[in-house]
This record gives sequence, C-alpha cells and structure tokens, in this order.
Amino acid sequence: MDNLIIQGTDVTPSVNFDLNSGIFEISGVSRPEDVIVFYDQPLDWLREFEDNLFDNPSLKVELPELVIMFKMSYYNSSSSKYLIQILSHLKKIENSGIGVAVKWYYEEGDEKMREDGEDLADAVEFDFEYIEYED
Amino acid sequence: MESYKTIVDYKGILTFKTIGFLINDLKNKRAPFQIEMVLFKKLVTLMIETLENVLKYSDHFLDYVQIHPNHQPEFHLSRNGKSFTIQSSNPIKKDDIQKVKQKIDLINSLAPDEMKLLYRETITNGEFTEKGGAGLGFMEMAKITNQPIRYNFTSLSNDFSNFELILHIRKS
Repeated sequence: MDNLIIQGTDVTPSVNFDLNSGIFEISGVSRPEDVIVFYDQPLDWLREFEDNLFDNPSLKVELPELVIMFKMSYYNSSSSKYLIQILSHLKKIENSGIGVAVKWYYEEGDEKMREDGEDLADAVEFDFEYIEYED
Repeated sequence: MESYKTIVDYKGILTFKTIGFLINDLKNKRAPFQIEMVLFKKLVTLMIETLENVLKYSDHFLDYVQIHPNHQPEFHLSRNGKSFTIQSSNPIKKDDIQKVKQKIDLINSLAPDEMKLLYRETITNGEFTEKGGAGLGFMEMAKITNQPIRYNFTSLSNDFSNFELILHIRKS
C-alpha cells in the first residue's frame, strides 16, 4: 500500500500519511469547496489500511506506533465531522492492538484551537497530547 | 469616544470565490483596525461560518434575487468601540423558516455544558444533509460569541422571507 500525500492549498489541508515512519499528518486550512469530495481520498485510504490490517494480522507486528499530528490553522464546521471520521478510523486501528498517539498542535495563545481539539477528543474518546507552538 | 466603523461590507451573489475575497479583505484590515490575533481568528471563523451558511442555500434563492436584485445577500462586519458586530441577510424559503428557527432557538437555550453535549452528539451521530448542515455552524457561532444568536425573519413575498443573523463579540 502506498503512502498518501495530498498537497495543501489556501482552502484544503496538506495530508501526509507515511506508513514507513508511522506518522500521519494533516495540516493547514480546511474549508474545501466540496468537503465530501476532498475527504473521500483520506477516508478511502484509511479504510483500505484498516482492511489490510484485519486481513494480514502479521502487519501489526511490522508497523511502528502510529502518530497522528493535526496542525490546523483553521477548519470550518463542515470539516469537523470529517476529522471525526478520520479519528474514528484511528480509534478502530488502536482497538485492534496498534498504538496510536494523537498530537494536536495549536498556535501560541490560540485557546480556541486547543478547545476545538478537546471537543474532538471528547467526541471520539481519544487522549490528545496538546502542543503549543510559536508562529 | 470611539465611533462606529465598517470593516467589511458586501452585497451581491455569494460564491466560494467571493468568500475568499472577503476573507482577504478582512486580513488586510487587521493592521489598520489593530485587531489582536485571538480576536481576529474568532472574527474570521464567524465570518466564514456566516458566509458559508448563506452560500449553502444560495441555490434556493438565486432565481428569486435575479428578479429582485435589491434582496441579494448582504454581509456587514463593523466595530463600535470594543464591540464587533457581524450581520448577514439573505432570502430564505418560508417553508424552511421553522427548521432554522428551531435549530437556533435550541442552541440559544443551552448552557455551555449542554452545548458541549449537543456538539458531541451532532458531530458523531448528527444527520447531515448533502448541504452538510446539522446546526454545527450555528453552534460554532454561539460558542465563539458566548451569547445568544440574534435573528429576524421579515416577509419579502408569498414564498420568501429575509433571514437576518446578528452576532456580537467583544474585545476582551
């Protein structure tokens, strides 16, 4: 299975799901013109990844712990339900016995972005690590 | 005494591109209006959620505003002292008024903890139409402003009313 790389734009986030390092990163702005079309690709990729794991349990041994990093500068309310779906897939992967760490980055002083992360974490019952960064 | 000032003003058909132009317009006004980063981010979020809400339902009223151009959507962001006001208006089908009113009234009636629960329930189990809406945009507006969402419906014709949305946020 190939890694997933989607270049970011002014209105869509960068997506980099790297199986070799186990680092999955979503960053930037998310207010796509068609949110369903944009998130179709990462969600399909995660479904395929999940299917591979369940079909080949030996893969679990080879995989490093997965780290999912969200570095969003902005996402609209329509995008939030797709971020939840991504997190739900990762939760299933975690429940299958693979370690998954979620790192939520937010700009220094941007308490709203931190609270948005807390809302998502609550909704999927995931423990996030919150990391404040300077712009 | 600080006086009332318009920051962003728009009247016309909204497109996805127009929203991009209006966001850039607000970005360009940040320095002259000395809006600090945290408040600026909140204003951008409120602006986007408000405009995207109008855009989502544009196909419902496009034919109507072509015949009645004076009823085209409007967006206005202004500052009065430490207070910022966002006002938007657009035609809405009279058949849709009750649905919108119920969503906003429910959100306005909730305490912050109840809002968190509703948000969590909506985001995980909420019914989303192909337009994407399940009231998340209104919840976001209420969470950011920490105040009830003000709105008005004014009849325009047999089939349409004007939907006016008003949000206030204060500089801390």
